[in-house]
Amino acid sequence: MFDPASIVVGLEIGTSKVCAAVGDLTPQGAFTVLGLGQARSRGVRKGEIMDPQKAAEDIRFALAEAEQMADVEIRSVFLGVTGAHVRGFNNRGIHPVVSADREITAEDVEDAIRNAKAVNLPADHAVIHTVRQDFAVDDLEDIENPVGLVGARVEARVHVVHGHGNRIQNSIRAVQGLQIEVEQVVFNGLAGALAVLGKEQKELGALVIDLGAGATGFALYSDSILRHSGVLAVGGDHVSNDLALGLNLPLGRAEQLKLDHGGALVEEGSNGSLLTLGSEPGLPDRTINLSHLRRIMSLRLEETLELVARDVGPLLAQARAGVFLTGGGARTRDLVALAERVFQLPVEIARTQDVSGPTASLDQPEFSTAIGLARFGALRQRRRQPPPGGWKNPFSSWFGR
Amino acid sequence: MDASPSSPPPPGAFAPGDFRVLAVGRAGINALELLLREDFAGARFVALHTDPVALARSSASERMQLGSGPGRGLGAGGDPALGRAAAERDAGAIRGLVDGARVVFLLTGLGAGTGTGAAPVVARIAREAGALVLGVTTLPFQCEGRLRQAHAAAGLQELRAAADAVICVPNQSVLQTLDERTPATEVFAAANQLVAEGVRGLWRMLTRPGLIQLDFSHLERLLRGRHAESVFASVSARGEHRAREVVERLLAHPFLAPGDVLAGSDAVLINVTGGPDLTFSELERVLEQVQRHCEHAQIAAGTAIDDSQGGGLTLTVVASRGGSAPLPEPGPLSIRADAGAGEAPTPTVAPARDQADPRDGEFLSEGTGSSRTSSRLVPPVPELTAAQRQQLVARGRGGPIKRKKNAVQTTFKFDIVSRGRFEKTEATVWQGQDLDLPTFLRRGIALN
Repeated sequence: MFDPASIVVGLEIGTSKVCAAVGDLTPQGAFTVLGLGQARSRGVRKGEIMDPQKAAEDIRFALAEAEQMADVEIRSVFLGVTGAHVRGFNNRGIHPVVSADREITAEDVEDAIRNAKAVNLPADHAVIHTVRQDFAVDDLEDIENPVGLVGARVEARVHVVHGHGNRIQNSIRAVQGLQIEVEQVVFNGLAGALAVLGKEQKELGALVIDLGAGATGFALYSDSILRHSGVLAVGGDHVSNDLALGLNLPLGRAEQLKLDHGGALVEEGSNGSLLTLGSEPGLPDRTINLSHLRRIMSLRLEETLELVARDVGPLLAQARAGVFLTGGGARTRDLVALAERVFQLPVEIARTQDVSGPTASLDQPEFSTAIGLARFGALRQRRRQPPPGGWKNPFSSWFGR
Repeated sequence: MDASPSSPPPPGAFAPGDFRVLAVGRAGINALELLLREDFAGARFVALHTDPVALARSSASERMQLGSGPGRGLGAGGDPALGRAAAERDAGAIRGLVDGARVVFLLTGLGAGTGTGAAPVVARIAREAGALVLGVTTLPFQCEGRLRQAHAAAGLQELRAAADAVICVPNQSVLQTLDERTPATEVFAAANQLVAEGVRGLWRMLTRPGLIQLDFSHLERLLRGRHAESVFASVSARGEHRAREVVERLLAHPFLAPGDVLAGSDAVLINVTGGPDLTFSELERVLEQVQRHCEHAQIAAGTAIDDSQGGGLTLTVVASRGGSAPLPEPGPLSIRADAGAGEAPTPTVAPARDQADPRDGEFLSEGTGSSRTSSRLVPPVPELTAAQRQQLVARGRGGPIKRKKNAVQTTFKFDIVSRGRFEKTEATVWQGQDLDLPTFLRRGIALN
């Protein structure tokens, strides 16, 4: 039915769930999601695997579900990684143009990019992505493609995402242990952006925030260029944990309470309104003040968004299309209003863009990362880049251009 | 009566004559000397001391010897009881000094005899006379010895109870701001400079025409009857990035050092003074940045233009914490649980030792254990101000505790907050804060 070679699978090993998305790239270049599989994740904290065995079980389950739904056999995946160790920064590389006529050739550009990739990382860190941003030729800035221009010096700017080698390897091994190949490792924050940002939004400038359970990833695009990315190892789990501590509840119940009654703002009039928690027969019911619940959540979410805003810094002004929230946390009631207050920008819940498939699942913010990962894979395939080498050789990922 | 207007002035209008600066004791007088060099048109400066020799050295126009009754005329000799007695004896004269004042600044240094003993008395009298009393005091260096520390701690409690607000300048943290090779004289001068700065900042705020005026009524509303313990910081910056730098400097200020002092405060006074070139965007940025750090406090922000500031930007912040009710009996460690900080069983260091020191017994805050919340959650030990920390350390050394029958020895909880779900994970630390702990606990926000 499908050309197996065109099937791409994105796998996100998240803190609350493991999610696999099977996508297909038609010869015309359209991307369709054929199947989604998910499993509750038990072996992951803050986006990193803590219990490899449980994680492997969950991955198996999620992949099996996706296989069933899409009716394909999954052999390889594009694996998402996140965690506190993942960081992004901008770097530049310079190459002098030596040819007699001073015309910049593709080789010059490659050399400049290679120089830009030669970055100083902590010894145990490895590069996940280097994304081309733009070029400068002598004093001429913001050049998209300098090949053919005349100049003495070409400067390449790239955005480098790197992470702790061993911790990335943990995720890879968990997948490989299931006899499934990892085609490439992809940073979740970028994958999320890839799924939900359309061309115009990237052009205009947008900040995508992926509010996961264990970590909050973010990426900022403007002029179709990836300007900034990062992770904050704070997520929905922290909200639940805060509630459990603050309201003196078991974690599971706090989690449920968060889903049922949570909100990012302390509403007027919520003060004094009480929630009654049912309990085991024979034990007295407990009541909880709704405003306490909201205040605890509001403080945590506000802080999280503020930390993101601070990390992005002055670049925030470039997000002219606004802020796009995705990930499970984006479902929180009133979060948009809170985020508008923090960022002073238009905020909306992101929707998957330019992807066809079962609409009901595409619109769920929870799935955007997995879909983004599959889409990343599809873009890679379209470029006919040879896939082998895995994440060890990730230099060929020109992101989103 | 003096220069102060006979009819009550309209609220907010502040006449210089309403402003009284009383310097009690040697440290206070030294700080006063710095103030006297400047122009405080209309304000009255009075030096008070038990020691006539030290008093004679002061260049203040009004000087008053305390305890000048028959047979004395010597210093208090480092004994607060003598200082207190001297002040009580001259209560009538002191009342005459503060009569008609609306703001009384009390400059003093706690630890020795006169300042420790007399300042609370003066504060009480001034308050009774209807003035808003702000104490600005230095606390002794650690090396000055345990006895002085103990005196200072007790004196601070008394002063807090008597005055509307007390701004502490702990000498030990002044030391942190200085280079190690600084001569001793300059260290003391620096401490005095800070005391003077505190007065100057508030004076400027009250008298200079402001763009956003912070006047007496604000000050009064913020401080009256709170018995707060305040931290004061004044920083300036110049140049292109002064707005950013001034905030950075403020946050790095040793008195606000852990950064949480602002967050833990429940009343914050912010004043920005700049030259005529002060732009509104700078102003906006500074105020917004500072307010972001003390979102949960009652904030009074003002700004004034001072021609002499040309090119510079001065940010003065008074952060008060604690106290809305009258203080209970002195207890140097009573970091108040109602400080809007969702805190805190009184932490007590002091492993009991055998040596007896009768003074320690009375400092043990009694029955604090019972005031604990019943929640299984034990909030983190509150951030202490430098002064409190110093007292804690002093307490720790002075350890011995006579086992009183009803005294409760509280202990530090080391497993402060369970990290819950994140027990076994790597902590997410951002600028020194463990983000895994609930935000409301770190910011010290009470839920009720």
